[in-house]
Amino acid sequence: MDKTRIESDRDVILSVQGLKKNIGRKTIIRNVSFDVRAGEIFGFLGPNGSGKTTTIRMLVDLIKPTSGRVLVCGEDVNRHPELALRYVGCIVENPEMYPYLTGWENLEHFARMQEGITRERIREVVDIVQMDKRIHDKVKTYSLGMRQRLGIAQALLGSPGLLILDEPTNGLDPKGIKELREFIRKLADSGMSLFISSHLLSEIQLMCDRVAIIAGGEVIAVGSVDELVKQAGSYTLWQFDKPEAGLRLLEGSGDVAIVGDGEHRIDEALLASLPGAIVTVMDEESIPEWIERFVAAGVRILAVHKTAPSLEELFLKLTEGESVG
Amino acid sequence: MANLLALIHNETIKVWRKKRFAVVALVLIVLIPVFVYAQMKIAQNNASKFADWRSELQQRITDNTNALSSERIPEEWKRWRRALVQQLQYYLDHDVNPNTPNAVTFTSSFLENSVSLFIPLMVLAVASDLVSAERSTGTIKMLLTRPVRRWRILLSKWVTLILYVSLIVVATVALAYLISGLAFGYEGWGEPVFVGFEPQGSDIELGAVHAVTRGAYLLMEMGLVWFSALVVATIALMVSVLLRSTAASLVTMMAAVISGMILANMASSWHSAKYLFNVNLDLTVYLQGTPPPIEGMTLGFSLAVLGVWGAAALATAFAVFTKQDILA
Amino acid sequence: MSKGKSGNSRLWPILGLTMLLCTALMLVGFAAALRDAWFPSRGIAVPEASEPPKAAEGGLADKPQWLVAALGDSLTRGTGDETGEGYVKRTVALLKEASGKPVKLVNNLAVNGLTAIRLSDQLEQRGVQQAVAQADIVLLTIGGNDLFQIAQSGGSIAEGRDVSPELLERLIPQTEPLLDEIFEKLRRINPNARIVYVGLYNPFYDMEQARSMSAHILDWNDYAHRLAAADGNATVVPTYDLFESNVKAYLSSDHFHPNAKGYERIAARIVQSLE
Repeated sequence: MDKTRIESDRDVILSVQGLKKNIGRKTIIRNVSFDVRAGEIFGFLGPNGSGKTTTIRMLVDLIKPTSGRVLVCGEDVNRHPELALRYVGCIVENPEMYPYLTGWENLEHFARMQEGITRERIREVVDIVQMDKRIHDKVKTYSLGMRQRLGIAQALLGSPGLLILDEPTNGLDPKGIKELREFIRKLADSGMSLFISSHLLSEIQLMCDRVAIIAGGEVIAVGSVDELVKQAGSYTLWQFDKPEAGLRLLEGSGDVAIVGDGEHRIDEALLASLPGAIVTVMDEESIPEWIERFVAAGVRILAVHKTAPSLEELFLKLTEGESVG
Repeated sequence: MANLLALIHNETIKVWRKKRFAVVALVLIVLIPVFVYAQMKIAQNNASKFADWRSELQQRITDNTNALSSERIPEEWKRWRRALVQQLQYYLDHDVNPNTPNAVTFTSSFLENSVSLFIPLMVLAVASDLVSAERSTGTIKMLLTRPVRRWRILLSKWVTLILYVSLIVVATVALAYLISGLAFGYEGWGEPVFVGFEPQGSDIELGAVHAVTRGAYLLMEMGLVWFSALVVATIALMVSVLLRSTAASLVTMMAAVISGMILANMASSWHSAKYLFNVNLDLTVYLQGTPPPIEGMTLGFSLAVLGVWGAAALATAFAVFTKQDILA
Repeated sequence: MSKGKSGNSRLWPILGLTMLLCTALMLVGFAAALRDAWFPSRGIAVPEASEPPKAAEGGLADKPQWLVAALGDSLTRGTGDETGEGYVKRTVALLKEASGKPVKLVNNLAVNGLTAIRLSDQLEQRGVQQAVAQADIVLLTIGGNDLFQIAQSGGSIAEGRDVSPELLERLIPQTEPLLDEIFEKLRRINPNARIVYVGLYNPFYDMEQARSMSAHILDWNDYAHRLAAADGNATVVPTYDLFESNVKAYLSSDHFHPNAKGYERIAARIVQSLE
């Protein structure tokens, strides 16, 4: 009920405004601002040590910001955690629960901390994460995957508008990761906003609609994932039977840039699988046209490969752009 | 905004399921029979030596009087013995046996002997990891990201602590009574015991002495033991908030309690030691009418010292807990 | 849903209520303690005293068991005996052997450094009276601290400094009435007990200038003897001869109190006097 009202009232569910944090004399977080809109999956991308964890902790009142504020549905998290955190479910780092209590007792424990969570709601979230078989066992007997699911169940108890997950795929096997991705998509489809942190661009690309990128305690870019990736530019790799002929053709055109050996950071494994490949930057839409051109010129194409830039590259591009203009 | 009762419910269940109280009860069940056995041996020995409790009492008076005449014992021991002799003489003069071997007297003396070390240690078993365990297991991140103000969470922990302190004191008394009753019999609630001895310098003022029943005496003793245990628990809560590690806070508190016991036994010449909380823990001396560890200490004084320490600890705990950053 | 859950739901009301009641009880106890300390009531009435046991009438030989009470100074205490037994415990043991009856020590109420006047005071105390009242035999040493003016601790003596025959001669007449008083009080408390007074000896017999004290000590013992004779059920056990021939062998290192051997000889004398 609350949720629908807020969604219709305002589009922005989480608003982070000018966060700054000093610990001792060191400034850990310089300037972090972004908005998360209702119903979107928002990625928070940054390498380890970039201030990602500190920022997440400030979102849920575990750390008090030196300046700036965090609003959830219009409520200041730092000043009124008892109001703002009603709309938030979160797992910060690992989903740590009381090992000497059963899963059910853990859920009861956290249910008591918020008004209006009924026994039926607890049963519901247990069903959502499919834990009904083991829910009355002690948490210390759970596997990591089950703890994760129990953590999510706990986070969902209060029917939050915003779910914050910190590196949720850490420690999961590929199957678990896939399931989690589907699960997150399902939650977003039901109207919930998700805030997901990660240090892997690929993961963010797979899951998120929009992303904020943090480096050195500062947000260096916010935008849709596709846009950002495009902004960074992707590479098109060509492998020909006669590389010299192909290269000559490509060089002859004005709108294709040939990237030299030391100028890109493409995965070594990929390059090894395409021996003699020519790395180019070109407009995606012109690829079919080019293929026709090669065929006409009698250059046979062994492989065409499109690759996204690595996170490292993206950072490089973003910080370059900043320093230039 | 969850109500406080629900939070207390949570904390109570957690302490219980962590088996903290079970450990306390187990220690009591193992330890009390040992003391009961020792006490029984003493009683048997006295029974074979003395025809009558009056002879035994008179012998204690004479023996202590003899010890007083020795020049080698320190002045504060003499003070203590002189008070004891006067008390015993009072009992003898009024034909009241101060040490009938029964479950109630055993329980009383067990409580008197455990107030300055044993009870505090039992209380620390619960108090020391109330906050630090949430940190070390990481559950604090779940606990503090719920829509509840931090001071309410700490308040619920403190109230839970009060409840458990009460339970521990009552359980100690109940177990001591039940176990010692097997050896000494369960009577003795109505027997008279004298209170109101007021140590004045090297003498004891007898003007306010009056008799109460053993039962009432035990109840008052429990109340005093409870208060000092509560102060220990509150300070332990603060230490647990400040130090973040259960082991560190337990060791700190144990060191404080034990050094207090040592100081109480030997620091009568260091007068300002009386402002330390750990020297004031044994409130039962005022009920027993034995001289306090340092001259000039009274029940009101000790209560004030303990109260100030407890209040300061509580204020510090709240100030730090509500502001501190949860970094790891 | 399952038993675990229902167990949990019962735990809280029971535990919570129990702890609440405990806390209420503690508050009541605490309040009661404060009230009793600051606004004391008159207290409950102390129940009527039960009658303490009294010694049986009749002669020693007719009694089935003997109860012994010991009174007096450091000699009765057993000071100087490295085994800690003193003459009292030895006497009890020897009596048991000699008579074949159970012999039990009620109390040894001796206090180091006790003077005659303080013993007389002590006999007014209820506990002391009760001990004396149930005894069949009362063992007694007194006077040494009055006559030798030894330091109150009863342990040390400044070699011969404050002992002199002249001083002794002056002190004896002052102390004799006190012995009178003590015998009288003892008899009032217990009309039936055999009173055994252990006489004084001269611990300085080996010192030239103090040897003449022996005559005065004999005077004192004589006086005690006369009191005993007047009483009819009292004995004076002489000890002066025990410490004359070989003082060093029977006195402890403080040169005043007997050692274990000395106490053994005193005990043997007492037993002989009771046979």
